[in-house]
Amino acid sequence: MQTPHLLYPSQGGVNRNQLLAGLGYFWNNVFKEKETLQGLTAAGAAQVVQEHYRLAELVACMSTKQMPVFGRRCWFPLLIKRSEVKTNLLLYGDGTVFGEQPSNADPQFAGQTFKFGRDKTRDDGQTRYYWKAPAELRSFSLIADKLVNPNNALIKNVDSTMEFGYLVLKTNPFELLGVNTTPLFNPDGSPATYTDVNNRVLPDETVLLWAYNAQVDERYAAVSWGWLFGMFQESSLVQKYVISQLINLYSNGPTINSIKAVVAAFMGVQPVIGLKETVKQIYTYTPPGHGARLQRVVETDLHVYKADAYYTLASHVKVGAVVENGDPLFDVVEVHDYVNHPTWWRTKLVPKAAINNVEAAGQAQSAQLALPSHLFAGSYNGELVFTNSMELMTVDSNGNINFPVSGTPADVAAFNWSLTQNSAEITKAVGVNAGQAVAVNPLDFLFENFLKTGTVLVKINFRTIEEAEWLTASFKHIRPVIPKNVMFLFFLDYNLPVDDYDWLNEGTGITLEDYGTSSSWNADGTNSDGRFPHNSAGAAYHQSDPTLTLFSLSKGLTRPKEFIDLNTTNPSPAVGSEAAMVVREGQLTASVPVGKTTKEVNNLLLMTFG
Amino acid sequence: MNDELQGKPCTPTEPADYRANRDCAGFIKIWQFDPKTGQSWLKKEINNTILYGGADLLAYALAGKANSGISHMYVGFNNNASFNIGNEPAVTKGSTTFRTDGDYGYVRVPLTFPAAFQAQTNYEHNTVFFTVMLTSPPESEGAEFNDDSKIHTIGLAAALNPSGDNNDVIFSRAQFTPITYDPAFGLTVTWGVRFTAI
Repeated sequence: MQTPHLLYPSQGGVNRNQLLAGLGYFWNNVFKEKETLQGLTAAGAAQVVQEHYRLAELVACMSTKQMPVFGRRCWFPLLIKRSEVKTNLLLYGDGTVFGEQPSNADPQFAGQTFKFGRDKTRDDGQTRYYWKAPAELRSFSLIADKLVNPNNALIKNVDSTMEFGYLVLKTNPFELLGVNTTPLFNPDGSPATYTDVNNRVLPDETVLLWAYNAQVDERYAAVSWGWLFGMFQESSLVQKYVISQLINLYSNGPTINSIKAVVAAFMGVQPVIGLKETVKQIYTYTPPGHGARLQRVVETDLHVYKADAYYTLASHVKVGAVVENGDPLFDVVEVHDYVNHPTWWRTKLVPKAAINNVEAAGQAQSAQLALPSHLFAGSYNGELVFTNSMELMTVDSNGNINFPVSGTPADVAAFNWSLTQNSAEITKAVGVNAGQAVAVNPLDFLFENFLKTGTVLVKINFRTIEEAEWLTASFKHIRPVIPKNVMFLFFLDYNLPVDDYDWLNEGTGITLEDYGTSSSWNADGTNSDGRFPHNSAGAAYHQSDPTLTLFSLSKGLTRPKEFIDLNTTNPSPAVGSEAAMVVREGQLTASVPVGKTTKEVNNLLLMTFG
Repeated sequence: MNDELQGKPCTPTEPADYRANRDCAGFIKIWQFDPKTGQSWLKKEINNTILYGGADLLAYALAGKANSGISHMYVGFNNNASFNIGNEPAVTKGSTTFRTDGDYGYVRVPLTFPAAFQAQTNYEHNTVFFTVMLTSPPESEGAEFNDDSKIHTIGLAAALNPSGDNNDVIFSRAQFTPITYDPAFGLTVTWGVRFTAI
């Protein structure tokens, strides 16, 4: 059976007129309630089509690769209460920043400062209407006010959109032309009312709209396969990839590509689908929509693969290259072993950020590797650290070996003792005698002599903390499958976001209208001079002692003791003058002198609450 | 043509402290160690300057000239208690001689171990390591090498004449804040020269 086309309005096999015509002469020409019958046949056909889709989706769920991410609903009802419709809602995570919106933000809000509990005002003067959509609704093609001959059709991304689970409309759904609204009543029969943001009491009512060709979260992946791994998250393409690749890992075994593929899946990157594909084009593009990130795209003769531009192409991916099944085309995950990179431990134990920043003609070098105690025979309490640089290995006059390894003194002694048990072989191998010394690369020494043939590095380059969180939580499903006779080193490379505390100091972005007179302040409560305002007596600048405030933000100290400029010797120093205040282990060792403000403590940001 | 190169001036744009040679660079570590206990202390970690003679040696080595490999280290010192490294001229590519006048002197130490080669895949960091151990140093040239000696410069040399020092060529050299030699302890110098071919 050919799948009916989901076009609007319905055509072909579910054409209302054709359905009626198929009933014959009597129903078309003699029966008086023809329109009712037409509606009945169309509704029956729509139900059959819906069930057909449902059946096809369930059949597709037999395969992790074919299963749909979302279910398809021909018509999804949206029962909207007027009291639940908000305007220009300020949503957590919608890109809004503290203080004034930067000029490169959403152009509709650039330069604005939002207020809690208040609407966002768009620069184009338009109003957006927000309604919390049912949790299972993810997408749609359009919204109509009637199933047949609608008066209004709100097209997605033109008249309506979905943002953070909210249905966002350009038009108030209760003011659509010809829309039917239904008043609401309380159980006692009295009209239901609600209070709007302006404290007006208004009658509540509902309107029924229909989302056409809706994408609905039916939890296909979780119900069909996810329960095997305890993955009951909301449906997503990433979840489908993850489950699909986990099944692949379990069923086909832990090949390098299957391990890479399952790790890549957590980052939403699909490895090569076909057995062999030829790369045809490589390019980047930014999808439409505010805040969309640059994407890197690889087109092959069979499929299109894309990933966030944070990831670079794997070295072998070039136009004309033939890539193989299961091969991730981006550097979301790197696997290094002695065969494909005989000295990987020297250069691959390096964060991606460091690799990107290395000088053009050089290459990032691994700094060191800490290995767990259970890797070594004997009793160790902690890790042993092997550096990737030339260090001195000495043999004392009694033949005891002192190997350049870091750890607790007891662990280092235990390690050297174990080496000394084989002193003859080791000293002969490195060509050193009692009372002599030789320079060795500890990390190199360890891998070249012991670990290189049985060790694999799996380096995972996370872009977000969320990706890392999910993978580490699911790692228990990967670990049982990987070979027991190979030591896998998993390098989790976190791309830590930079916290940008803007408008805390050196800026006057906040206007406190309720302070008495309207004036601008820094976010820490200081004025444009960096001073707290005088109290009523005019004696001190501080409203509260910064050392006693509940919260404070300070620059991360990189050493136990850090000096901060603040002149304590000058009884009346000018704003910004030098001084000496010591912070030890995160604590101020002296009180902030009277008259000083956080602006003067230029290495320290204190945020006052109250 | 590479787009990034178009319209750019032909003069180097690297900062002044950028290493001059991208393809060949050296680095030196000097440790003091106690032969009895095996304890060691890192005294210096410095970069070097490849001298003009270094290019000659590379050419000789490529041509297969006998004895063109690195075989010795020169350890330069000064025995004057008021020796000030700040008064020494900076090492240049032409600093091929070690002073022997007055309180100056040097010892010529053969490599303790054969040069070690650390290969790197993709030819990113092929590195040769040369090591000498100063436990019983040879007789010095110039001033006597003793516990007053302030070691302030070292050089890597090839003895083109294996039976004498009359045909030594200095490959590279470094100068640093002096270390006072202590005969009770050994000194180990490891000198790495990294070759990049990417």
